[in-house]
Amino acid sequence: MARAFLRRLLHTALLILALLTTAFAVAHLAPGDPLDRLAPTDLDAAGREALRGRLGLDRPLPEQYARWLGGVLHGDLGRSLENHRPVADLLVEALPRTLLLAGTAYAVHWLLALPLGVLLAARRGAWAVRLLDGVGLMLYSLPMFWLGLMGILIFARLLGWLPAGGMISPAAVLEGRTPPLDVLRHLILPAGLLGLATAAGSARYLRTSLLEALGSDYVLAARARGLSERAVLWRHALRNALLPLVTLVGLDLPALLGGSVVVETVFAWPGVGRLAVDAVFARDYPVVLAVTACSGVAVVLGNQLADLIYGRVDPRVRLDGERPR
Amino acid sequence: MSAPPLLRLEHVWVRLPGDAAPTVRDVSLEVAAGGSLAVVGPSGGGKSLSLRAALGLLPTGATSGGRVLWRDEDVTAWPAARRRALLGRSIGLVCQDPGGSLNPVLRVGSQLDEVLARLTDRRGAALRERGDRLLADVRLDDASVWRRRYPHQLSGGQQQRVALALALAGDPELLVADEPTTSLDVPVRGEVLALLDALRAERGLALIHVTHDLALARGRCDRVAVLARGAVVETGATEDVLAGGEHSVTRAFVAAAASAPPRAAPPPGPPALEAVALEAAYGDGPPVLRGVTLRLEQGRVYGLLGVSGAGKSTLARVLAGVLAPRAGALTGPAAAATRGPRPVQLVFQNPAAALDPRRRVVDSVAEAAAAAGAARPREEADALLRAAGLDAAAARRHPHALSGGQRQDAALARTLAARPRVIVADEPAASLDPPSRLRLLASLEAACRERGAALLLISHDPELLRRCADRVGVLADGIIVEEFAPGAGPSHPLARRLWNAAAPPPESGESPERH
Amino acid sequence: MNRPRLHVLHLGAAMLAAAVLAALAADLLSPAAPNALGDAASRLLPLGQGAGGLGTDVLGRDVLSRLLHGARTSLLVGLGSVALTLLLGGAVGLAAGLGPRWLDRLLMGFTDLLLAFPRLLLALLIVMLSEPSRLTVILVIGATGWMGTARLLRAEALGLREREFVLAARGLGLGPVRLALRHILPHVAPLLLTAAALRLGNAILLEAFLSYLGLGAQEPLVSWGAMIEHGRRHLLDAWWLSALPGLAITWTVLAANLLGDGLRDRWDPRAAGKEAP
Repeated sequence: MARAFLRRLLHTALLILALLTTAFAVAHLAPGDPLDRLAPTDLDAAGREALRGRLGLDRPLPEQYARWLGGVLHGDLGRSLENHRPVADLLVEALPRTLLLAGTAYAVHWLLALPLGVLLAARRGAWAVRLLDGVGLMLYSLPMFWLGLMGILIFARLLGWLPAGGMISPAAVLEGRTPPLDVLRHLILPAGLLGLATAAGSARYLRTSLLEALGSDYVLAARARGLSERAVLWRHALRNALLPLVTLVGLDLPALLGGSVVVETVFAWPGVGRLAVDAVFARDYPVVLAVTACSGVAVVLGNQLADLIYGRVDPRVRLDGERPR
Repeated sequence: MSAPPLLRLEHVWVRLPGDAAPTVRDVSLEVAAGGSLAVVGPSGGGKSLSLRAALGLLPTGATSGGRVLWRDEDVTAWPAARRRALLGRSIGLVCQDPGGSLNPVLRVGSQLDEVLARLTDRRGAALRERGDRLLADVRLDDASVWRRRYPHQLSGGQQQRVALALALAGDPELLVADEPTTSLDVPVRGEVLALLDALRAERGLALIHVTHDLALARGRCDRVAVLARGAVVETGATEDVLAGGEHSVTRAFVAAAASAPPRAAPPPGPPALEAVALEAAYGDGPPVLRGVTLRLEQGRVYGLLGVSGAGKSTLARVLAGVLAPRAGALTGPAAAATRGPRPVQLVFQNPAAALDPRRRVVDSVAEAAAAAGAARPREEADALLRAAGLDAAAARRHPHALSGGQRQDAALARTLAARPRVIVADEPAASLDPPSRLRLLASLEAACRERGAALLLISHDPELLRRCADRVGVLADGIIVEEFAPGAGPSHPLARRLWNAAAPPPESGESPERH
Repeated sequence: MNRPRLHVLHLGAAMLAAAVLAALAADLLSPAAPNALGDAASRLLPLGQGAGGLGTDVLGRDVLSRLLHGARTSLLVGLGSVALTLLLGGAVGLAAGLGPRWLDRLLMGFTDLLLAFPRLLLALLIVMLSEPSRLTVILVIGATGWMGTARLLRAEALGLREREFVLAARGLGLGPVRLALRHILPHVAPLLLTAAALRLGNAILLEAFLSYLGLGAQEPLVSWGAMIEHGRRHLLDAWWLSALPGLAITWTVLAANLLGDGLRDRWDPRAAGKEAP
């Protein structure tokens, strides 16, 4: 048992190393001179070389990599080119806000997807299923950032029910407070949108999984043994259908993080996503690189966690160590 | 028959969603209280579906009609809830795939208690005691051990016993067994069938036994109904049917169920392929074959017998050149590694699967002929197919547009087009019903003898080898334990056990094994 | 059973055809040049007015004409990036599925690694360091989206590899290339097409957001995403400037998704999973 855990730990560590390397490679192997994009256009040749030296871009690539990696492993993610603050500090500031947004959105997503998925599978009534299917497909096809804008238009500008963006109202900012109710009001539109947009896909997946479980041999046998339809649905079918959903975290997490970037940009939510996009405009590449690398690491850790949970929940894995095909 | 019928189907039909024609067209059959009925027929004939319709367990979207009577009352007119109450309490069901019928994430004890709680008034200690007795009834003593297990931790036979226990939890009067032993290994089948007979005797159960092996009906069921293409083509007392049916389908099944006539061993032929001390394994795993030596002769049929996991398929792959052996050698005219088609060709469990579903049959056969160096592949393909009974028009169809038998014939033509010196058939036609299987094997055998190719038949079913093989070898523990002629029989104890492992008829007096 | 789904297929195809038509015939159908600036009087004209009847933006440019030309950008980028995705994903997936074990591990390890990054962040990282242009966007979207297709194709190839007819073909002594071309590819082609349709929707959405950020096709090329950004500042008084391009995007993406769904149901009714391949 301990050996398996150590192996997993080692595997995860190697994975993270590979991730960091890949992020670095993507950033530095893009064609063209990075200085073309990073330096102000009115700098002369000497000034550019000086900038290059200051940024450490004149060193050979392996050396740059080693220095960067060494820094990362010590928690030093470099300095922002724009305001010279340590990137790690910027991330630590912004992370809780993104967690709040993404976490709420994920909860909303499950609150919507679970009952919807069960409903779609349990009722085979043609028109209800087709309608919900259609709505789901529509949601899946709408551009999220545009939907956010329309949401702002309707709920903030036209109706005035909800704030148009940000995390706290200007009044509270001036007073230096962070009143929770105020934050909640600001959270509704972005988290609701993100949750809604991602719920459609999960509901469809859950429905497929559930339909498969309902068509399986053990469900037929359970009915034949005289069990009630409710027992069959909840205790037998749903239980089995939910298992593979745990592993969906692997697909959910990158999508959720990507979605947060979009939502934070549109609603000016001061989280990691907005940090990254602002950095893109400011050509602040250490920040963007750090955010990308860290999200990769977060996804890997999330995956490992999901695997661990699945291992405890599915007796076939728990006892034999093998995931059923 | 003076006893009133317990369950009766009258002109039942079923149409599956999306199909144009009904799969079950007109099925009428009945079983009396305490009686037993065997429902026999080719795969796809509608046996399982008719019974599912009778139980009210059709897949969603299926439509059905006809009358189903329980104790002379028409249950199709009952409200759904009342009809469902029959399940478990009056009628029990056991299905083909034992592992599949148990919920994989719940322990055996949990599933047992759940059913008992639903079907009886017992609770607490009384409930558990009842459950323990059920487990003992199916010969799984020491209930506390079995209760804690998950389904995947049980063997196929044990899973089927649990399924039986669950089916009988509500003390039903009728048990419907839908091919209960087809998925099990041949030795285990006997045990489960013996258990079934014992339970019937102990509880006075009526039984409907769906199977495609008519031999199982002998001594076990009073009556037989033969179902083909969605309709009952013949019914009668078992003895009468076995003595000689009237319908062609019946006769095919009777022939398949009959024991094989003894064969005289032919003289040995010239060698085609010799394996000497073969050792093989997968990757770095444990050795599967530990020194197999055998000799395949031209124009002769060699039968290889062994249980699942003995390494039969591994041997097949080594002989075919797909898997490289760790040690040992292959010699003989068929062992030469040449370009083009392998001299040792494999025939699969479902031989028709060797045809590419996206290509026309004649193209697949021509491809094989071309690879074997034929000057005019297309012509040769046409000729081979014609010899197999497919005219030019049929040859230009895709596999799915042909009948099952035509597909098998076409696949055989393709194999022959590759001009093999040795044909290795690994569990050939295991997925087909007995008459189709016999037909296929007969064609295979005839083709081999005609061309002077060697045929290696691999199977876990001794009956099959009794019919077709000239010599039989038993594979166990990674070596050939004994070789013998089918007429003579083996002397080695392990070999004897496998060779004689047909289902014991109930009168034999053997009590089922206990665990 | 197949009837209802056939409608979906046709609907999607028809909707997509309309978008393609708009893109191809944009110059013919546009009442005005998409970048023609208007004078002071013809700025921010509301719906019902303007050369195309859909109003004008802050610079007096006709909305309808811009919408039509925007289709060109979206479809070019969408189809271009999908072609790249199919090529990369197909090659990697087939190589991993049909080749030796070590190659499979290597390729899939790399693929999984890339899948851990949110696609948008990867795209932003790359775009930030290059010159934003329509070509860059095609390359970036294509290069960040092939992983799912690779996994799908690998799974398919692994399954096919053990099918009896493939084993039988190998038993004839056919080499790997001939095997792949004659027996594997015909079986995999429908899946590739379905994947293409489903991926198209994602590609168009990504292009739209990148354009919204100003990182997509640059002026004078017209892009729906950029139009939405332009209308953002006038959300209350000229809401149609943002609303209409969004509807156009939705139309096109919905068309692609319907087409993909329809194809999938027709060719492989078993696979109705969550993630677009």
